[in-house]
Amino acid sequence: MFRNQYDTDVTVWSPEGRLLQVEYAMESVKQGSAVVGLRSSKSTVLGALKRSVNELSSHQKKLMVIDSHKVEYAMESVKQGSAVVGLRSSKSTVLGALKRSVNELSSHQKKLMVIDSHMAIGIAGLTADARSIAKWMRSECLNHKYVYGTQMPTSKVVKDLADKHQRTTQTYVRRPYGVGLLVASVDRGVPALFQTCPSGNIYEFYATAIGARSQGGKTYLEKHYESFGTEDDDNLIMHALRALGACVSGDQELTEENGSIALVTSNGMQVLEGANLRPYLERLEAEGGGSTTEGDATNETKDEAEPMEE
Amino acid sequence: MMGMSGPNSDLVNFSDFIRANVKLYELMNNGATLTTDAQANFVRGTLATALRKGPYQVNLLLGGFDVADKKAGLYYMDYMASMHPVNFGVQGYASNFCLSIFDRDWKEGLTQEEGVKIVEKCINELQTRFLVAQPNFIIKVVDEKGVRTLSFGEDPADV
Repeated sequence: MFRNQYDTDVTVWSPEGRLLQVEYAMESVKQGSAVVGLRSSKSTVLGALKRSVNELSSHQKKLMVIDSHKVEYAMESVKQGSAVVGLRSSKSTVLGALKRSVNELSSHQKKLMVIDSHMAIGIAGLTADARSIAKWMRSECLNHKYVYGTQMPTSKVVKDLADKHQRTTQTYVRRPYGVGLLVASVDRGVPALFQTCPSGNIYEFYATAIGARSQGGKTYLEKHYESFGTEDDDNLIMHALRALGACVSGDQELTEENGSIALVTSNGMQVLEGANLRPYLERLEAEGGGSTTEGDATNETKDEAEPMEE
Repeated sequence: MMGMSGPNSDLVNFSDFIRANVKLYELMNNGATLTTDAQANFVRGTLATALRKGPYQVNLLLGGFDVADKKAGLYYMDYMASMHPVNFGVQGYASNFCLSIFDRDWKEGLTQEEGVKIVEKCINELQTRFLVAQPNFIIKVVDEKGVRTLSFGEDPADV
């Protein structure tokens, strides 16, 4: 379509008397998958072809959601963040995250945040945006407890989160949040894993990974997700670490400094970092390596731990 | 399900408000329902907030069944926004007559038939002993199948 000086603002008429932003928005409709509608004298029927991102995700509900293409650049920000993986069994949900440090002297940026006693998030993208969202989520969960005396259902938080993201895509003065979240929870015994993205779309997953080099993690999870249902919590953590190991870059390895795990169960939550990760990492080593990429292995771990196999 | 007592103005206004808000929650959340304890806390919170502004003069018993947890719950609330989960409850003058019957006959693991018999016992007691007893009682039940009316009482005009 045309690229000219009258198409940037929605309040600007083109010389032909057209609102080009509106016409561009109409293009967005053509990109969505099909919806048909018809009626008789007594009833109306709508039919929709649902799209799914891949075989691990739910099919996107069509009869209420509008896809937005305006936020692709914000979604790039998520891809720049380091990897976060999430997976669930029939009883618990696990998040794993690869923490980055600016240089050898700095700490590793935390990527897993606790929202409530039954909910945790893993973030990829602009950390500041993520902290703002986490603060809002915590406030919502606490307010729900205050009014209703019970834990907030995850589906409610995630739905409101989607609306919050969407609002930024339809206002001129605001930018989308440059962060993707994996929301892990156990709602009265039922585990759940959701992914949010800057567009405002929400997906529910059995298992997924986001961030840089997350495709390696996704490949591992796609291969093994059918066995997760019956796994116990320790094995679930091992799966998360293996998926995370597939996301490290060539000269990097998964260590207790840069790895982190959050386990959400019906009895509460545990965040494993640093020394708490060691037993799992040792088990990973014994199996034969924490990284599936080729390249030089740099020994960044403490003296007692052995280098990961490449 | 709520059983309420008080002046009709507050009773109707309050119950309509609660019913609409519970329905709104369901509409806003893809059909997710509030559990019995969540509803009870919401009702109590509404009473508490209004207490120092313009109180609702309603006493109520809130009962429900949660299909997911397979549990029944009963909550006693009064116009001062106090709330307590109870195994049995009575509001109004009837408490003078019926609480002792419940104290005696209620036990853990009653069946629905046994429970209804105890309620009928209470109604009989009121009709025997309570000076200004009303002739008609509606009996309703809530369980995994939902809410339904067991007995609608008799219209005095028909008797």
